[in-house]
Amino acid sequence: MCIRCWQVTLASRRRVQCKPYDIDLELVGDRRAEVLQRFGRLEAPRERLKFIAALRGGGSMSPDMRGYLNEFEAEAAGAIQQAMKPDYVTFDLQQKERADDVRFTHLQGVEVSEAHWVPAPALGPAGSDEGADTSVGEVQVRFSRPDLAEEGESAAFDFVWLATGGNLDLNLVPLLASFQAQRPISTVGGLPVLQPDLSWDAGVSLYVMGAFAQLQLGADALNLAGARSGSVLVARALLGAAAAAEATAEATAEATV
Amino acid sequence: MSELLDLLVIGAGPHALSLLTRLITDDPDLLTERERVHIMHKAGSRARSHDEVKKELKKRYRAAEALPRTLVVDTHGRWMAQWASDFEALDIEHTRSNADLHPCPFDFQSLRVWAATQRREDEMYPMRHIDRDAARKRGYGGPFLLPGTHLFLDFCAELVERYELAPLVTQGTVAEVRLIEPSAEQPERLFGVHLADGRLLRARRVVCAMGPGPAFQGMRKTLPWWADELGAELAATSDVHARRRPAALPSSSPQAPVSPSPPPLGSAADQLGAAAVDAQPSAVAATSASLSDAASDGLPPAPTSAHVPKTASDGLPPAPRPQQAMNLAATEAFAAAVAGGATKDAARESARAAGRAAYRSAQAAWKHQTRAAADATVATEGGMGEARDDDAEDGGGGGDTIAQQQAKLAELRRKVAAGEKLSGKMKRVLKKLEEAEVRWKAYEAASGAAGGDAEGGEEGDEGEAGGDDATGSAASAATPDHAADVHLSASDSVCMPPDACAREVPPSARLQHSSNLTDWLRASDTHALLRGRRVLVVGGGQTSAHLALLALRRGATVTLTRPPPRISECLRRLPMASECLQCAFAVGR
Repeated sequence: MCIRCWQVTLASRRRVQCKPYDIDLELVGDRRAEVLQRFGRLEAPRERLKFIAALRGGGSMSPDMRGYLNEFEAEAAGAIQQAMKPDYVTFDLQQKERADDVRFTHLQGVEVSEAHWVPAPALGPAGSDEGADTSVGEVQVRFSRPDLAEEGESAAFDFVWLATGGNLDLNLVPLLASFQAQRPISTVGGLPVLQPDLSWDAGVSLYVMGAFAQLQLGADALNLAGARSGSVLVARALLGAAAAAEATAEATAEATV
Repeated sequence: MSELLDLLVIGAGPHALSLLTRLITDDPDLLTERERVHIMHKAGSRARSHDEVKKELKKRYRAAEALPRTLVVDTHGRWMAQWASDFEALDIEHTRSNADLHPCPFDFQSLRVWAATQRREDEMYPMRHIDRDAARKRGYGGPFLLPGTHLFLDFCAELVERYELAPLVTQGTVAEVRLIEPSAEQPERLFGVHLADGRLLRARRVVCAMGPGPAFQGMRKTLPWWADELGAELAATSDVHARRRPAALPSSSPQAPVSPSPPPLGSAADQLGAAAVDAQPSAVAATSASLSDAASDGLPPAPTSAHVPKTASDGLPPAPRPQQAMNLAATEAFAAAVAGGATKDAARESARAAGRAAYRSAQAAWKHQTRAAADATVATEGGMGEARDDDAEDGGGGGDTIAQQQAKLAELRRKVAAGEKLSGKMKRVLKKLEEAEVRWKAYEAASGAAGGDAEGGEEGDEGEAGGDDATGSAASAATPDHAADVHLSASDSVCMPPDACAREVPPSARLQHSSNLTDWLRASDTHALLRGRRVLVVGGGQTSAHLALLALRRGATVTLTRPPPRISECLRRLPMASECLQCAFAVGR
C-alpha cells in the first residue's frame, strides 16, 4: 500500500491481492533484467510511474501472512479469498490449524460508509459533577455495499486502525523540500527526477536512495532489492569520482614535478 | 568550523549499509541488475561456491581507515534501529523479501551461507502458500525461503561489526542541507548539513539513505473520508476528557485533521448539552405538536435492534446515501465542467470537489436520520423540547425526509379517519410510519431533556461533531442499556464492555493510521489493551495483515475491510458517468 497515488493504479486495482512480494513476481525472477530494461527504455517519468504502479498494483498481502490469518478465520471467508488469488498462490485449508474461536472476519464486498464515536453510559454516580464521561465509549461503524443503495449492518469497535497507506511526496521531507527550493529539479507525482547515478542534478553530489529514487530504480526502490541496486549505482558513482579525483591529484602532482 | 567530510550519509538503515560496505569491501558486488540476474539464474554453476562465501564472511574490515572523513547521521544513532523497532512493534516474524535480499556487498548467497554456519537454517521460513511450479513458469525459481527477522537483524549486526561501522554513526536528525557554491577560497561545491540539535557539518558529498523514519516522513497518509470526521469527533471528545482529568496514557496524536476544541461554555456537561441542541433534525421540531398528540396512542415501543440501518429504507424516500450523493454530484459537476469547456483535469477537479461537498452534506443528513433512530430506541419519556432553529445547511436532507414521512403519516391517518379503505401496501406503510413515529417522539423527548438548560450552541463543524457525541451521551445517561441495544455487533457477545479499556485509552488513540501506530504499540501494554477488544483494520496490504495478526495474537477480535474507493474510482464505476461524459463532450463540441 505504499504507492498508489496515480489514477492508473486505481483503475487496475483489484479488491484484495495476494502475492508473495509487493511487486510482481516477474520483477523478482529471471525476467527481472528484461522488466528493468523495459522500464529503462521509458523516457517520460510519467510512463515510468505507470509502469511502477502496474508492477506494484496497489496494496497486496503475502500468501503466508494470509495463511496465518486463515488460522483465525471462518471457512467461508477463506473461500472468498481463494477466488482472489493469482494462479501461483495456494492455500492449504485442510492442514491449517484452526484456532478454537473464530475471531477474524475479512469483509470483502463491503466498505465503511460511516463511523462515529458513541459514548457509553455514564458509570459514575448519577448526577455527580463529572457528568457523563464521553471518553468512555466505542466506535460505531456502518458497512455498506458500494454498489447498492441499501444500508448494511453496523458494528461497534474499540479500535479502528487504518492500514490505508499513503502517497509519497518529496515536499513532506523537510530536508528534500528545502533542497528542492535551492536547486529545483523536475518532479512527477511527488517524486524527484534524478540523474541516472541517483545524484540530484548534474554536478550536484547529493544522492538519493530508497523510495524517492524509484523513477530511476524501478518498482522495488524502497525494498531490499532497491537497497542493492541503488547502492551499486551510488557506489559506482562515488568510487568513480574518487578514482577520478585520485587521477587528477596524481596528474597535478606530476605536473608540479 | 567542523572538519570537511568526504561523505555524509543520512540514515543508518539497509540502504546505507549496502552502500558503505560496498565502498569498503575488497571485491564488491557492483553488478548491474542485468548481470546479477544472469548469475543468479545460473546459481550452482556460475555462482560462487559456499566455501568462497564463507571465507569472505570471516574477513574483517576497518571502516574508519577505508573511509576516512565519513559520517553517518541517524535519528536513533544506531544501525538498523528503525527496522528492529518496527519488526518488534508489528510482531513481524520474517521479512517479505527472500533470502537472497540483504545488504551484504559480496554475494547474494551470503545470508543463507551465514545462517548455515551459525546453525540457524531453521530461522528461514519456507513460503508455504506458493505453488513452486506455477511460480517457476512465471520466471521465479526461488529462493522460496524468507529470513526470520532475528536472523536478518543479526546478519546485519554482524556486517556492522565485521566492517567496524558502528563508530561512524552519530545520533542526530538532519534538518536541512544547504548548497555551498564554490568561492575564491573554496573551489569545490560543498554541502552544509544542519542538524536539528544545531550542529553544522560540511561535506563534499551527501547520500540521502533514510526511510520514513520514526516520524514517517515523506508519505501523505491516505485517509478515508469517514476517518476525517471520526478523527475530529475523537479529538473533540478527548479534549473534553483531558480537561477533566489527565489521560492515563500519553495519547498519540490523532491522524485525521484535528479540529480545534470548542471554547468552554461552563461545565463540560453544559457544553455538550448545548451542542446536542444543534444536532437535532430540524423537521422534528416543526411538527412536534402533532407528534405529541400521537404519544398517547399507546403504541408499543419500537424494537431496539435493527433500526439503525433501516429507518431510511422504510419504504419512503430516504436521504441519499453519502456515496450515492457523492457519485451523483460528482458526475453532474464533471459533465457541467466539460460542457463548460473545462479541460478534463479541471473537470475532474471540480467533480472531486462537488462530490466531496455532496458527501459531507449527505453524511450530515444521514447522521441526523440514523442518530434520531438510534437514540429513539433507548430514550425514556421526557418533557418535550422547545422548538429549535433549523440547521438547514447540514440537516436539510435528513430533516426533509422525516418531515415527508410525517406528512405521509398524517395523510394516511386522515384517510383512515375518513373511512377510506387502504391497500395492503398502504397498511404496511402506515404501520411502519407509526413505529417510526414512536422513535421520533422518544428522540424528541430525550433531546429536549438534554438540551433543556443549555443556551446557545456551537456552530460549525466542531460543534456539529461534538454535538453528535453529546446526543448519544445524553440519551445513554438516561438508559444504561444503550450501548448493548443499539449496536448490532456480531462480536458483542464475546467482548468485554467498552468501559474497562476506555479508561486507559483516550478516544483520540482509538483511530490511528499505521504510520503512527507503531509508536503507540511500542509504548503500550498491547496485551492488556487488546485482549477481548474489537479491532477494525482497514486496508488490504501487508501492513493490514500484520496489524490484524498482531491484534489476533493479543486476543482481540478482528475485522478486516478494504478502504473505500476514491472518487475517481466511483466515477469510473458509475455507468452514468461515462454517459454524462459522452454527452458532455458532444455538447462541448
